[in-house]
Amino acid sequence: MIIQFILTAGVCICLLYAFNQIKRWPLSFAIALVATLGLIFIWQPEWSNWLAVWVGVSRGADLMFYIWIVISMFVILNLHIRNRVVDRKLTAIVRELALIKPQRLN
Amino acid sequence: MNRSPNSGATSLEIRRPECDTREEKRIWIVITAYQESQTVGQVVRNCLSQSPYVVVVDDGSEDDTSQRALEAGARVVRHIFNLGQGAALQTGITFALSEGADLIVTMDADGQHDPSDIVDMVAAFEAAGADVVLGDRFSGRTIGITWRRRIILKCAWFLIRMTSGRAISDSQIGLRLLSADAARKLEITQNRMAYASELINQITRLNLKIIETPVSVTYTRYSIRKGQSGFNSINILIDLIVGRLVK
Repeated sequence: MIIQFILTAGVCICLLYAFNQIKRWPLSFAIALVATLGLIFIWQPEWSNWLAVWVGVSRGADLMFYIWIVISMFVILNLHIRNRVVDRKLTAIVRELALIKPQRLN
Repeated sequence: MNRSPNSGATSLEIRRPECDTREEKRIWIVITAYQESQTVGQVVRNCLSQSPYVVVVDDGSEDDTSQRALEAGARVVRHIFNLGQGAALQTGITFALSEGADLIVTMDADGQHDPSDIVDMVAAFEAAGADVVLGDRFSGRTIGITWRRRIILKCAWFLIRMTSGRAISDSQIGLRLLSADAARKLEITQNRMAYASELINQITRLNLKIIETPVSVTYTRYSIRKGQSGFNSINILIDLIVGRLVK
């Protein structure tokens, strides 16, 4: 019972984050969807078993683990892409600085 | 023959018969360097014997690469920190274009390339009316190449073949010649080693004419130590995939 309250608090923070990121609607929608599903499965764990059997996985806990892996992969890819965007901006700044003062020996 | 303003050495630019009234082309040699204080001075001096226009892009070296390049007679542009060879190359190309380059030759700073190959590359460029000339170490002379390096280069060949559909013999060679028009159209966004594959993909997409000419490459213990590891091929693949996802 205690773990359900702890997990619920965590999921609520995720929902708040999704609300905070509402302008980035595909991301915020995805977070809100996953968090809501998480909330349902925290309080109705047997539903995850039913869903697991329906999709061909024997246990709900296994299904949750697989979903968690897939979500983690997407999160890593998303972070990597954002990192690349920042990298490009940084590159442009460094290049601009380099080209401002080319050196030569007099 | 021209007199080099930097070194006093004779330079070739493009050698033409005296009766030829066409304008001489300004060839800028772009050398990318990171922690190359051991070799960059000699590489610059060798390049100045081919063209008086040499720029070294110091990619954030912590040793005295910049100073050695300056003393040897090159212009130097310096990244305030290390970005990678692709980024350094784009900086050098941008600089060369801003200085009015007609042709741009790119070269590594570890001394593995022979600047005298530039003459043949320019001749091939003019004869074929090409936009881009790539050196080809496999049809030229390769000294000291290891079997590991050969495997890496074959993997790169396969990757380029898969992504661009072009069978480039030596896509990873650092010795290239670009016309100014081609250089303006190309934009290297891959900061690290994936830029070589990116360049071929862009050349294919832009329908630029590309030819290959035999060049000589000499691997020394130093250049092998400075070169890429096999594991870097995986990083290149990841960079190319993620690069396509980033607008």
